Amino acid sequence: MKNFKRTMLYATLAVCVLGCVSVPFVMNGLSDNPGADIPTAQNINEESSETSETNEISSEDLSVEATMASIADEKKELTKDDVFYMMLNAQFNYGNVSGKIVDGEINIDKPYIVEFSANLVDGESYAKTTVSPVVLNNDYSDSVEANIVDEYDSEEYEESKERFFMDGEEITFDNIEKMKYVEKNLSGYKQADVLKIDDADRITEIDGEKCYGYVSNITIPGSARICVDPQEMAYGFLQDQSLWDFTGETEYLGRNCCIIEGKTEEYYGAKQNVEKFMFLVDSETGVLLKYVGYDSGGNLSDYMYAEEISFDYDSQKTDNLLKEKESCEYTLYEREEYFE
Amino acid sequence: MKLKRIFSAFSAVLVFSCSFALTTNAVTTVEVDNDTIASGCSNGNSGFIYITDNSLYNGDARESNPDIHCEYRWYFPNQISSGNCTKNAAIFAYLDYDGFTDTEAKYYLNDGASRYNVEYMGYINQNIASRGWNYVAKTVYFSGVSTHAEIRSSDKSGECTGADAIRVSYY
Repeated sequence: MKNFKRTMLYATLAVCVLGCVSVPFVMNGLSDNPGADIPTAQNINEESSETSETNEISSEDLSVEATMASIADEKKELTKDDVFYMMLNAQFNYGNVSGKIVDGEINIDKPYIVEFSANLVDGESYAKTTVSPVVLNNDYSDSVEANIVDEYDSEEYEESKERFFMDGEEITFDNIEKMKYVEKNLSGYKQADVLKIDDADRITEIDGEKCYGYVSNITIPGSARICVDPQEMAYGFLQDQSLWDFTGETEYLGRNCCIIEGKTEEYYGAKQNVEKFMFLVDSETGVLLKYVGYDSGGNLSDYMYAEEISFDYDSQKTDNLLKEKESCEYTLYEREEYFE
Repeated sequence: MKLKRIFSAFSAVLVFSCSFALTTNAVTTVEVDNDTIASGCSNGNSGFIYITDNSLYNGDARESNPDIHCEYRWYFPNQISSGNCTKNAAIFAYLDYDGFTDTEAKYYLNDGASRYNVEYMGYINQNIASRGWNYVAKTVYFSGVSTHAEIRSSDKSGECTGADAIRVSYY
């Protein structure tokens, strides 16, 4: 009897322990999205690493058939979802990027002209942003490739800022005001440290209102984001897939691009003063190489386009530019530590 | 023998508690809607102007003066206690107003190291962001205190930075 009781007690304890230990695994299995409240739940990175483990190259992958199938997959036509998520995740499709854009989103007659270069892998970047009056090209609507701005004076600036990002430090030089702004000890700036958001968690809801998830990467110069990391543009213009379509393909700045044309959602379009729009999206990276917006009268009302684009980075050039700036006299901006 | 049994039973309960704790992804969220009486939180302001509009969260918000560098802070009660194993903090911003046009509005969060320390979380192009809540960024967090979030204007000519409601989630 004594032995029976003891056996029962140990058996009960064993069941209890086993049950408890298995609870997390069972519950995780039941939960579709454990981090639903937070779009970038920790489990997203864990899922990514699990995926990479299953993607290890096997001998089968190296076969001719597998290679041909892979090429065929790469050449398959892009779907609307492909382009939408490729634009949202563009920053993960390259390590280096350099270029020059003309961005008329605030004022089409005085666009931002941004020369930029970034090494996302190591967390380094440079951007020079200038603003000066431009003359619009009357023939900009002749083709999707035609330049929108005809000419601008690259020496006469109304605004001129240079922003360096290196070793977790952001230094911005205001060339007009001769001020220097410094942000120190920034974290999570290397590509491997950037916290991804799973596609399924990109658009969630808070109290019945949509919540748009942005992948933050402070290495990317803000003035170039509209082109190289066009998350806001994807959400704003491509979220409702019934409003746009692919209308062709073209080569632009040596890149294969899909042409997208569409209408804006009414409320969003009113804010942007854009009723119809055209995108040229790099088919390999999701980088937005050209955007043209037209108001309800069919007039040009908004634009951004790349004049140059390449997927490389010159570290030495950035170093030299920074040394040059540091040798000039700028007043360091000192923040008020406390204000009410 | 009795002690052994008690110890075994206690161990089982302990394992159960730990397993359950692992599955609980507790999220503490603070929502601060500046200027409304309902939020009960204060703010710190350098250069932001009070505005009202139906599209704004609870009808009002703050907008930067486009001619000067502006900063704005949302203060809230400390959400971190030493015992809750908080490791992450995420910041969300409510944006729905035509006048918010800052193409690089920068968001910061008090990092717990001191009352004044803030960590640069990320930026949003408020000019082309979609209306509604916008998840700006998350950071791995240290234990300590976290009592405010902050926004700073990017100081580009003619652009206005918007400061409406925010949410900060700790988990």
